[in-house]
Amino acid sequence: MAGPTPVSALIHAATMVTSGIFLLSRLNGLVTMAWQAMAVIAVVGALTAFFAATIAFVQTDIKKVLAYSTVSQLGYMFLAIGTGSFVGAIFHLMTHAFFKALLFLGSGSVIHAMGGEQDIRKMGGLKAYMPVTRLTFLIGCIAIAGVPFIGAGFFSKDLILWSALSNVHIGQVAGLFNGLPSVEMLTSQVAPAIAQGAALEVMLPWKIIYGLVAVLGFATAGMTAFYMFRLYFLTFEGECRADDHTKEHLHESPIAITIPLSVLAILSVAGGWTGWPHFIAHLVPESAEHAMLAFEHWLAPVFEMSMKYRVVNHFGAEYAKWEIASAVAGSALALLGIFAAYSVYVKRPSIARNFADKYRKLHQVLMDKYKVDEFYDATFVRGTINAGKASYEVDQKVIDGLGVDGAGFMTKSLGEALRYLQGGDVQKYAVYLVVAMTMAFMALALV
Amino acid sequence: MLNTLTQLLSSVSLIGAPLVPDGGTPWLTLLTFAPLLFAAALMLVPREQISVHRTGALIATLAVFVLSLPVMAKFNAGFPIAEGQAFTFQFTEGPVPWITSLGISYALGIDGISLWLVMLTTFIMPIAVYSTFSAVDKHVKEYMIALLVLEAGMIGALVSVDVFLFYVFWEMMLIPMYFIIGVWGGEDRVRAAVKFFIYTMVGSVLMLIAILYVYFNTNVGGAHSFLFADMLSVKLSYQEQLFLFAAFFLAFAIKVPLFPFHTWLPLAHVQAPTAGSVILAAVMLKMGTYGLLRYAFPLFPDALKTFAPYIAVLSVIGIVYGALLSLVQDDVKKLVAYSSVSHLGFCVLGLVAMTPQGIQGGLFIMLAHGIATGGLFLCVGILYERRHTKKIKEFGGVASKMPVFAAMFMIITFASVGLPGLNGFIGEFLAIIGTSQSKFLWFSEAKVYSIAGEAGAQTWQFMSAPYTPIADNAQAGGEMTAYLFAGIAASGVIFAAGYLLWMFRRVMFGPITNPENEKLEDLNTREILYLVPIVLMAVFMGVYPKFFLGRMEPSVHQFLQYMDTHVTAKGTVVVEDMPTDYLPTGPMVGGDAKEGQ
Repeated sequence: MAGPTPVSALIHAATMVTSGIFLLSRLNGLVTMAWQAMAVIAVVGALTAFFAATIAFVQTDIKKVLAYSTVSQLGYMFLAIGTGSFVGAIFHLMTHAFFKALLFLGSGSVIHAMGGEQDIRKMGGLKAYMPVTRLTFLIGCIAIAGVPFIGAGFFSKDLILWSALSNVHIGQVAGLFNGLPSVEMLTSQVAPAIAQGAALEVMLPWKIIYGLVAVLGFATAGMTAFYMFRLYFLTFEGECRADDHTKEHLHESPIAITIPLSVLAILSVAGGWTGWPHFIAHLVPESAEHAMLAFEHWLAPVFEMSMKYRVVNHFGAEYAKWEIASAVAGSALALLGIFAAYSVYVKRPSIARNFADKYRKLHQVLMDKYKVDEFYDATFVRGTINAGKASYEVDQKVIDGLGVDGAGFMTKSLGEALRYLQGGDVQKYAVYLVVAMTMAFMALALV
Repeated sequence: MLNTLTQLLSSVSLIGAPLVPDGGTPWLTLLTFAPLLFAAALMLVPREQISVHRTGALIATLAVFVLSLPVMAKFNAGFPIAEGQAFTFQFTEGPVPWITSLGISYALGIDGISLWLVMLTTFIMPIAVYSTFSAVDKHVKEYMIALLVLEAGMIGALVSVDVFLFYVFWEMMLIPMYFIIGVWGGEDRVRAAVKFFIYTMVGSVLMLIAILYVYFNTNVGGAHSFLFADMLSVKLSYQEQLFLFAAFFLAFAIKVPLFPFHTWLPLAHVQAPTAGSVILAAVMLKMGTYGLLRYAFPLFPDALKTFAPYIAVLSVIGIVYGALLSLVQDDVKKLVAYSSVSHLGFCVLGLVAMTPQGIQGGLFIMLAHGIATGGLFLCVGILYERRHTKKIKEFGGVASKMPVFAAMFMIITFASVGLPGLNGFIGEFLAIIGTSQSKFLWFSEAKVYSIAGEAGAQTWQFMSAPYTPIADNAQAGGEMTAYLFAGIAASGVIFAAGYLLWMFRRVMFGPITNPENEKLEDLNTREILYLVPIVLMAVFMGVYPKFFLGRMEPSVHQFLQYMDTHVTAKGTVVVEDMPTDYLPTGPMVGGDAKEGQ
């Protein structure tokens, strides 16, 4: 985030932050076997998606909003892995790379035009000055919000939400196994049972856990649309709030900036068309269907293991209806979010201010990002440094002081004490002699 | 000149037989005594001619380095391994009787374990000498002579295969270092030198007693012998082994230094002049780990089996403890000094793991730490020469004034952190892998419970349900401990990144807050010349470790086979089947291999 904008685009969009997703997807066979771990991954992913989205609601730095939206989208990808949709995770990784790179570079274009200003409260109305940036940024926002069929995010997010929704039904097949069957059990017992029409039984704890995951996933879909369009409206629509000096210099960026934006904008729309929802793909002839599900077919060999051993995947027909539900609900939430952002930030800007005034504490908590950084600083960083300081004290005072120097001191003291025995003073020697002899005689007398 | 010298050496009437059986070049003798000859030559130069002493010492150390290259080139990495022996030495010389009545002889040899340490010594010495050109102005003559004598002692200790000879060289290293710290050191130099000397001495004397005990148990044709091979053939009872191992271990653990015997190190490192710190860190600390592997482990295998888990505990404590201490230092040199405690912990942990990866990792860390930490001390020395302070808070923003230095310092720092692609990573990675696979470090089940708690041990057992203990290992049940050690050790890598990068940021980056730093000058040619080899070596070792590991491997495998046959608790040493590459590939250097010498 603090890096230069092209670096942010690269790191946040495509490469570094998503390497964890890549790693877990690469290990899909292993991850699938550890079904308890998958539940943890799903819950962590869902919570990340949700809480990062709430933080993005209130941020005023254009790049910070994008950064927290990245965290939120990464949560989505983890949610996908936790619910067994590795294709969804990688698909979202790809579409997210397109639109997030676009948004970051777009924000860079804006910051460039504003002379380094990153605060969206001082922007607004930029569409008059920067038409290309505005258009491409809008396409990026549409893509991330998941507007049906024209935003790449719709397709990948739909796959994830479907997975979250159908995963609620993870459970037992006629009491054969708990969570996930073992490999042997799958081939010897479960597969025949499914073939004979056994139904999935659902266990309550998993229903609750994955239900929560699905709810958070859907909520985040709506929130994403809201905060992204909040960003868009505050930056490009409405009145320009910049000072006169900045206004004079406002300009569209040169083609070195707008061409990459345009390329990414095209990809942000077309990138999603490689993975249409199955219920739509099924409508067309088989040859075209293959093209519409190109991404899934492309990755099928990689995820063969996980597809085979996740029992839910064996109930494909049963879950077709859930896909329609998730697509409809996801789209509706996205459009609702955009509409809400429009009404709050364009129609009646006072609502946002009133809300912030009314719930000042909540607003502050979100502005402070739940104080997670402060918490880590106080516990881990301070804790480690204090442990270091305490160790240093121990090292100096106990190990070196008492142990090593103590041994030296002991030797020295012993020498100091013993040297009186050899003072070279004949009178003292005589005294020692007399005392010793007296004691010897007394000892003899006692015996 | 070389030929004349060879002829001269082999015709010396003091030595009854030629050093090398077939009359070849006695490389190791040349290598050991060349620095002494140069030192003797420097003695003849008047003390006022400082530049002669400086260039003379540089040429001398460079010559020794050149002289060591044929040893590396001719070293046979695929030689047949002598069955049932602990080590197979090449370039063997002697044994020539030295003090016949006491069974002391002059015998040298080198194997995959000592080869790279010798190379490290000859590589680092010219760099250390070159770095002193501007740092030392007083008593230059004595300083250079001390450095050369030190080099002879270090090489001698590494190539001796007679234990008495080893002990002589071991003590011989101590004296020049005592003067280097005590005369040319910082403000608290005398205390540091005395502490260093006495501390090391306490350990060595105990070791001497242990050596004598083993010596009096040798029986070669009715007489006693100090030859290492003869000492290895002594059968000692378990109780004897425990005491003797403790004596050897103390001597070497102090030298390493292993927690809690490390307190001499920060003091000596900080007070020593730059070249002294470099040599101390790069080579002298390795004498401890080398001694453990070469002498303490094979001589007392059963005692080692008993103590190994506890040594591992000390090592992992050292890793974390040294890192924590590094984190809070306000003095750059002290920070680097404490980081040695942490890094050498890795090394010892790898060595006691008794797995091929662990020992190779340990050996590689010795080299990598020598290069990286030696480089760090050079960098600190460069800063100190310019600013006459080592306090971190005095610096800041140095990178903008010294860009070339910043680049080199950064690469060396990364090497020390263990960034993949640089040398630190290879050794630490191998050591961690080796530790996790170790069966040697297992505590008995009862002790595991006391460490991890009942719940922890039960969780582990639950998680590894199909686990079956190894049949002959009396202490089976502690597989968890090996992973515990490896896990804690791995956390040390994170700490290393923490304290080193934090230090680097505070020293090199940020705004210049201290006006003194405004007029810093970047590296001069001499400084670039001695830092570049370090940087290049750090990269080379990182990207092509096979060059080094390949020559260690036969020796490591042989050593492990020896340990496997000599440890009573069978199945605890991890021995890998020898790849066929290790079958004879060429004639031996320096005549037939003296088996086990």
